[in-house]
Amino acid sequence: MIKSIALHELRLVLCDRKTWFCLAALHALMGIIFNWLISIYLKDKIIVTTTAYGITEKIIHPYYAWFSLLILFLTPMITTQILCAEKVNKTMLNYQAAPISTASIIFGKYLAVNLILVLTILSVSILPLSLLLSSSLDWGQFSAGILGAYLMLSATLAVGCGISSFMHNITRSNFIIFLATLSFILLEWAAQYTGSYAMYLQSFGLLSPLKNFLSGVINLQSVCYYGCISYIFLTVGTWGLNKK
Amino acid sequence: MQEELFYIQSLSVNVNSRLILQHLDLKVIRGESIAIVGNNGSGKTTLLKVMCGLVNPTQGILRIAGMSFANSTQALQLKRLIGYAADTPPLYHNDTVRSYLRFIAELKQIAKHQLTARVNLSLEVLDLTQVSNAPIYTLSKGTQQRVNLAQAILSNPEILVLDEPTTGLDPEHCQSFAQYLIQLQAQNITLIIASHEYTTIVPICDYMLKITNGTVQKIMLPLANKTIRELNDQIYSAT
Repeated sequence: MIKSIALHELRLVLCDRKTWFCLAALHALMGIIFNWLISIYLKDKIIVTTTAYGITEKIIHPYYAWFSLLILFLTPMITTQILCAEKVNKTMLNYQAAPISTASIIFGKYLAVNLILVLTILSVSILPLSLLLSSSLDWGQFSAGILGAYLMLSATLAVGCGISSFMHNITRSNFIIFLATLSFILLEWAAQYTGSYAMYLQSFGLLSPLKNFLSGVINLQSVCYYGCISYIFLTVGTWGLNKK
Repeated sequence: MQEELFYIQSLSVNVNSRLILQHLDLKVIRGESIAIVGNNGSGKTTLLKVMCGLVNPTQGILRIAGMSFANSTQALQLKRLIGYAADTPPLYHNDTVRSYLRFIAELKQIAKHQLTARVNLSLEVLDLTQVSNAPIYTLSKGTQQRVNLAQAILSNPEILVLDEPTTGLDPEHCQSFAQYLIQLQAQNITLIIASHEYTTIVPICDYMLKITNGTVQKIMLPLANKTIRELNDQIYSAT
């Protein structure tokens, strides 16, 4: 059932012109960022004629950091569309009247947004992979960066799904998911100004585990952290959708 | 012996702190057809939603075939028995008619080998075969309503709950749908219909339930062969 819901959502999203417009805008922005990062790299004259030393760290690391940040701000729109908008358009009735559990609905929709995320990550990875034409990449750091970006964004999508399941107004849903996402980032910023609590605050931030991944470190603690965030918010979402 | 399908006792429903239904008692026998009438905002839709498990009652008892929506396992079993067409068609406008019905069939867990046949049958019954590959947003309001009815009958439900099923339908389709409902009655399907269509839909029902100020009054009328004026007079003069 989860698969059927996910494939249906994926089909609807891909049939929507807005999706293609957003993807085009994202690719254009990522192209500009990639070009900018390359120009900085070349200006620093780190490049060596045969091997491009530090290219993964200097270009791919910030490239996926920027990508994660951009998607982070698209999360409210994506998750609101997939859950809250269904309530507003009254199409959620299709699911509620069917003999399926609310957990299946939430997980099906979450799987759909994850598939969209994977497709987006794959499509924006073409630019960094194009560097292979003239240099070599550190595959460990490259794949850790992709994994980190996926896990962080997947956790953010779960936050969005969890909140969106309670909402009945699209604008309010977008705003609250945006605030929730922002508060996870602000926790890390606030940690700089707190003394003994800094460590705890920082450990709740979404971006610091991503930094480990981008620098090539696959930390099990970070994987568990993103997994826990996803699980908690999807459970909250199931509960929210159960409310009649 | 007649089997009691719906058992409702002292049921009250509050929506947004507003009392919609109060201390409602009702028993429905399997195979009966009921028309629910009442003024706008009287609670017809809420009653239908409660019967489908889409709205939780504030208090009281609701049992369908001895099962309750309060039990999650029984709730899933009950949803298999019920086909529901809402007053606002819950359609995905970018989807085509066929793919929408296929998706609903999957949600209703119709066996894969029956899926295409069930979808085709629903399309045929509601005269939608010609528009089956058209995107839903291109269809007229009446045709969208027929798609809504098609998804309700898709799983061959034992209980069919229809909220204003003829809204937007032309007289010809209205008549053919009423004929289809008569066929369902012959198959002992229980029909619960909120409708103001006194010429085609209401007359095929066994009796009417009139909802006034959150309470229900059963009106046993020989509905057939009555004029609209006679029916209206009898419904709204009955207290």
